[in-house]
Amino acid sequence: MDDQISEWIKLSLSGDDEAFAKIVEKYNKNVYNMCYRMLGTPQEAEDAAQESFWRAYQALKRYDFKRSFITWLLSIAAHYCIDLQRKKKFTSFSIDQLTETNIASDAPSPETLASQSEHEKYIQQLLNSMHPKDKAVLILRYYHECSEKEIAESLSISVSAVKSRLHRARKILAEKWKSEQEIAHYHERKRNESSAI
Amino acid sequence: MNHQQFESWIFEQNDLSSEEKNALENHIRQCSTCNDLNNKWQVIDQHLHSLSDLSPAVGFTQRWKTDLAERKQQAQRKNTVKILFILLMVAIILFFSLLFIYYKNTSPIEIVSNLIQMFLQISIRLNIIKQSLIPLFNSLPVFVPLLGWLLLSSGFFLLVISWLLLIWRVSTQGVFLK
Repeated sequence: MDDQISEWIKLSLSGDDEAFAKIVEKYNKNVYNMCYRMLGTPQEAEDAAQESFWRAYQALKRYDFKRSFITWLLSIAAHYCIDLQRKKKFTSFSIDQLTETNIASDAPSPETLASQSEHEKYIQQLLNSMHPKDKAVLILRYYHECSEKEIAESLSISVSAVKSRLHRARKILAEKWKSEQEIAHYHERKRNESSAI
Repeated sequence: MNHQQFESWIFEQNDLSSEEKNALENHIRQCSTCNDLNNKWQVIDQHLHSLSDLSPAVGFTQRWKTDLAERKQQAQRKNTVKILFILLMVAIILFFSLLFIYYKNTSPIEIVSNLIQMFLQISIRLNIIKQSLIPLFNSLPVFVPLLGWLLLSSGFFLLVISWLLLIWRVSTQGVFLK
């Protein structure tokens, strides 16, 4: 692990809140991205990221220095987002219902949207319709490039469970994925609908 | 080899051996379903690997610091309430334990008669105090001027107010230790 991170953790453990603020500064993007991909809206992602850092701050004395700090931090964020979605009684819906979803009510801020491609927005919509744990596995694997062992440690499941969840998530994505033309048509239709309103 | 195996291989092409890759390529050439799946997956895989890096709104760390201060205060308040509750419980348990030890060999009728006796004695003593204080208060105005009474009562009033404020502050904000 990075010596500087180790030092900041030790200082935080001795009660130096400024040291923990440095950790927040360094990793806020990673945690925010994890939460955003899990929850799908900037406001929920911000709140979840703040809560994840608070949980990490409280659990810091239980942190094992042999483990990767970022993986540990992401596991806290992933667990929190999974719990949050379970509490919200997350319901999976079909791709047909998905296309009828009002993007404007659920969409990221204009700045965020501007930085995202049409495909990325579409992938986010597909992620929103997935089981929270499958989604967490997929995000950790593709966005954070964690190994299957690291994902298993982060989500407190076995490596074989990671493999099967990863397979299921990929299969769902492939089944729901529409062709390039269909996606372009879908976004065009959405734009026309919102301009008509 | 079954169709399911090839489906799994399509999703995990980076982990395949060269023999497995060849077998998959041969199967894809023959099976249109797997060919479609493979084409779709190549596109998805590429998009998943190139997801953009999003940033939270500016000032995330500052908001974290403010949030931390608030959460710490809340935790302190909770702790104070918890300690007060534990102390109250200990006091109640202690009181009833002492009561039990004191009266364990006494019958309920004796306890009731003792209590009545105790209340009677308290009321008699209070009456004696009252009887001795009334002449004193009757004669005091002659010695203490009206201004003195005003000063005494305002001081007493201020003490009560500051005591109440202190209790309110400790119960709502907790005790800050440096």
